[in-house]
Amino acid sequence: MANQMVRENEMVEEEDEELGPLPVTRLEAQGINSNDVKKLEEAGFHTVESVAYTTKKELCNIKGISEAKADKIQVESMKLVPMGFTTATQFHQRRSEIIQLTSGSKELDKLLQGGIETGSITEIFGEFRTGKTQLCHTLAVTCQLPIDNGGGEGKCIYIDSEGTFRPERLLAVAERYNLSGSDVLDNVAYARAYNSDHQTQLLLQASAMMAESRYALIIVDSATALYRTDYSGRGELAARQMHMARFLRNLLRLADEFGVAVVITNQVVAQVDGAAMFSSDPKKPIGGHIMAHASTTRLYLRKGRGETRICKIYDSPCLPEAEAMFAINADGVGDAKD
Amino acid sequence: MRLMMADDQYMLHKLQDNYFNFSNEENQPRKRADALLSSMSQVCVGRASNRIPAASWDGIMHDLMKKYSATVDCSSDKGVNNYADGALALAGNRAADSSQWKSSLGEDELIKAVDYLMPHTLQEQAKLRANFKEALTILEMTASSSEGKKKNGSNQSVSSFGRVQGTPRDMKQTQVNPRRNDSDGISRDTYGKYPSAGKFEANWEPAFDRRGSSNQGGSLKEQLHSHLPSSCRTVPSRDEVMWPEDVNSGQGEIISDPTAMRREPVSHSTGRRGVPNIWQNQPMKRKFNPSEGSYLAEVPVNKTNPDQGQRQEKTTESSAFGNFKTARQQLTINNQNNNSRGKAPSASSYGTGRKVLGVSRKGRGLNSKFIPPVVNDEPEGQQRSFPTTSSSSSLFGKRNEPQPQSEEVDERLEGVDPKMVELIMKEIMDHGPPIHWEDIAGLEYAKKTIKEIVVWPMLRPDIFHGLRGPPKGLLLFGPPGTGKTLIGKCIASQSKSTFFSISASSLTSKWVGEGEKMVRALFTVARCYQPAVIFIDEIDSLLSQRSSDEHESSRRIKTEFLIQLDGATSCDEDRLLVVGATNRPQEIDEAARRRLVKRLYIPLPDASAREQIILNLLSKQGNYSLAQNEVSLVCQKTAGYSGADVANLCREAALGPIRSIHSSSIQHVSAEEVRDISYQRLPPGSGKRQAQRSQKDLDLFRMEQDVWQWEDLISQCKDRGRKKYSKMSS
Repeated sequence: MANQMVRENEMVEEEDEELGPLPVTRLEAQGINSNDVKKLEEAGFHTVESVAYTTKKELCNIKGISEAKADKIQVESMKLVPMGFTTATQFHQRRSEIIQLTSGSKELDKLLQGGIETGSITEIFGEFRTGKTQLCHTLAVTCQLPIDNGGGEGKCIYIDSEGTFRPERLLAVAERYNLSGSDVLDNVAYARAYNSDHQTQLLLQASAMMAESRYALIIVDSATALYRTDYSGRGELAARQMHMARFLRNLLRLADEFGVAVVITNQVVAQVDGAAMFSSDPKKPIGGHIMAHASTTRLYLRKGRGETRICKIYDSPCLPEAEAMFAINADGVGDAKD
Repeated sequence: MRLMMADDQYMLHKLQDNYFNFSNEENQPRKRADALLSSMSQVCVGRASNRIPAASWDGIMHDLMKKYSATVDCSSDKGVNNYADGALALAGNRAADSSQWKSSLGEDELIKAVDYLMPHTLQEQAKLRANFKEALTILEMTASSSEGKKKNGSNQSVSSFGRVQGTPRDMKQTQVNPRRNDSDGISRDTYGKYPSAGKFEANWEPAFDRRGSSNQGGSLKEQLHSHLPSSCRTVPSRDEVMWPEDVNSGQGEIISDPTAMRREPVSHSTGRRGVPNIWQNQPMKRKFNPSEGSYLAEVPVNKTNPDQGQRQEKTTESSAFGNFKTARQQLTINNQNNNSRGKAPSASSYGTGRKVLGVSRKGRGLNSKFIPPVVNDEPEGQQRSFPTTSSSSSLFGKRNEPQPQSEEVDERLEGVDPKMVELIMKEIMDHGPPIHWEDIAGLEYAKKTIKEIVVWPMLRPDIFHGLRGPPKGLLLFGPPGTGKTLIGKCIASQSKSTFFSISASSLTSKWVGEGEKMVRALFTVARCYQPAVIFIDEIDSLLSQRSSDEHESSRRIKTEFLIQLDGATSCDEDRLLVVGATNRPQEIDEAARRRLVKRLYIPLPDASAREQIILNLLSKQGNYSLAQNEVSLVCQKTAGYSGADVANLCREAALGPIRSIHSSSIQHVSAEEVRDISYQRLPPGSGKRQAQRSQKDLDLFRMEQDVWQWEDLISQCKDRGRKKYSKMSS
């Protein structure tokens, strides 16, 4: 029985290798010294994609890798990863195959034209009690559903900087989808981030984990809370924004490498200057332009009547600006009952 | 010399004993680990006293170590990780913080083991220690050579990480060292009371933090490797708890009072938990927030030494996913937090936390593959099969309920609006109280005929075909309250056919044209479910005389009905029976009357039938006192009553005894105290009751007391119709 299981696992592994990201050990077959591959792994490059997507400068920063070696590694990895031009037809074809994770609410899915898109960053922002964390919890379960049911058939990484992660909520959502609660919990890797450095460091660990098994979703709840306090005042603004940009860049890298969906939440700030007098809703997401540019889709949540919440597309490359109403039920995000 | 001999024998005996203990696979891993440890110490003693030659010593030791680590670190559930760690946690008064367990067996333990076995003289002690150190070096060399080139980056990273983390503590160690050496020089007793707690924790801190992903067999070697320079430490600790009894049997006093040992203040504290008192004051925090703890432990390093911090960052990322845990583990921790909140911490509650965390080892860790969280009751073989499109429907089991059976006969229902089919399906009567033929009093002729038409053909379809085939229509007529509807109900429950109970409301619609489609749907569905009985109560409402001034739609319903009953599309072999009941037969359309071939007059009950009804009803009610002659008197008096009238009479009579009870006492009177229904109650009731039929009806029905008279009436109607036609034609 155990043998059978192992064999099955191996089979799954083989399949994964064909579909998913290439492990960095594949470079050994391309003539890269295995010691160098080890060094790459230690430095957080677990996939060939990550090596190909990185700059030469970063490769040179790895101890024991000279400039010449970095050149060679990058050339070899670029051979494995297609990075050139493609036709729009091909890209359109690839786009149409993109998996979308259901949010649990039909209305919201309709607004997002299918759900949370994989391979890009989706930012959810809004005041407190607007359902950001609840949406994250629901997504952590729905990403494990089969693709036909609007899931991603993968595990979930949950980085929590506010201490609001509640596994019980996952169980409740799992029950709604008739899933095994213990398996659902096992499929969610949770880490608490304690400061902004740690938060960035967690992403490196996450990339190591993602290289080992199939993940469908990374949740960072919230991405900016720690930056708000770790850096204060105008004096540290530049440092904060640079740090945040690096963090978001890392997230984007993970999304590119592994094709996972990245969901981050963001807090809001009230505009208290004179201009606020004229706008009806004086709340703005924090993080400034860095945040605005990094996230592909921005969703603005606000509270409706009772347990209903309203989601508005704030920015998106293809979705029209529209609103949808959903509800936060006992079993996660769902449709509003009227 | 004799003493030596005795010692030898004792040792041999011990070794044998241990050998059996650990080589027996059936023993608990915990016991086997104990035995291995014990024999290791025995071998050490043997080596120290030169009973075992140096040549074979390291071979034996290496062997034992390997076995021991295999037992302890066994990755299956047989491993004794929990055991060792639990003991350690108990000893260290702290819980391990990572689910990734790493062997607790380091050189420190071995040295400690040796310490306890050490002869009491200091020379011997020193010598032994030197021997042991030498042995460790050899062991390490052999191990590293056997590992060969496999010892790669991850190993190095672990060891270097250990160094980075360990550095401040090593410094601490050297600070303490002189003092320890002092104590070494003192007597054995004071040595036993050496204030070890703080140092012990300092020693062990890196081990806990470093417990990363690489916890397999090589861990022992790594630890030895990284700690070799300071391997001379001789620290007695509360770890003794875990040593086998025979090892520390001589040191009872040390074990007996671990707190005394612990409480000795240690002044070498520089780090966060240098002072054991502080440490002991905050054990809760340390235990229940392992991730926080482990992380905080790293932060100071980060801050104080940026260079080291940088390096550490690089090494941690490869060594472990230390900061991540699965949601299940987090849930366990949360639950633990909730459960233990409010309880006073006690020493015994420390070791147990490990056990709870240990559950997660059986589950999957962070490194496991994604496993579809599908609940399936499928057999074991398919347990882990990936959900495909087909099984995805089972994911939401509630969604696909069993489809109605009409699916298979769909072709016949084609062309019929599925909504109508659904409406008709709702008219199928498959419940209601079971009614037997015996429940119908009298009407023997009617009952016999109906059995002949409905029940027997059901039982013997091979006999009842052709000329003997059952008629397609049956009309039950007679004055109201004579049991026509009851016969319908009886057919429903007794014939094993599909029974449609149809009334005008189920066929008419607000849309013009829908009504006749409904009729068509009714017959189509009934043909799909044959044998079928369509029972239409008060059929005169549906199939009244067609006249020129009626509405077109109702007329069309009628014609559709007639066509379906016996038209070009109907087939003789259809086992379909339409039963109509009415008390105004003369108003039914002639064409319909023609199609309802069998016409049964349901007359008013005769005296014996009435008696049967009365007795039936009264016996159902229970308590009555009625003599035979009284019953017959009642029957006589109720001549001309219909069945319903008689039933109403009985109902009235049954209420009589209740009326005699005073209204105030009605709340308290018990059911048994109610008086019996008696004859005195019946006659006044019978006087009150009025026959409910109009005089005209009575005349009509009195006129046609038998079927033949009714036939006359029908022929009269026909004549009337003919006259009409002739008038129209002329």
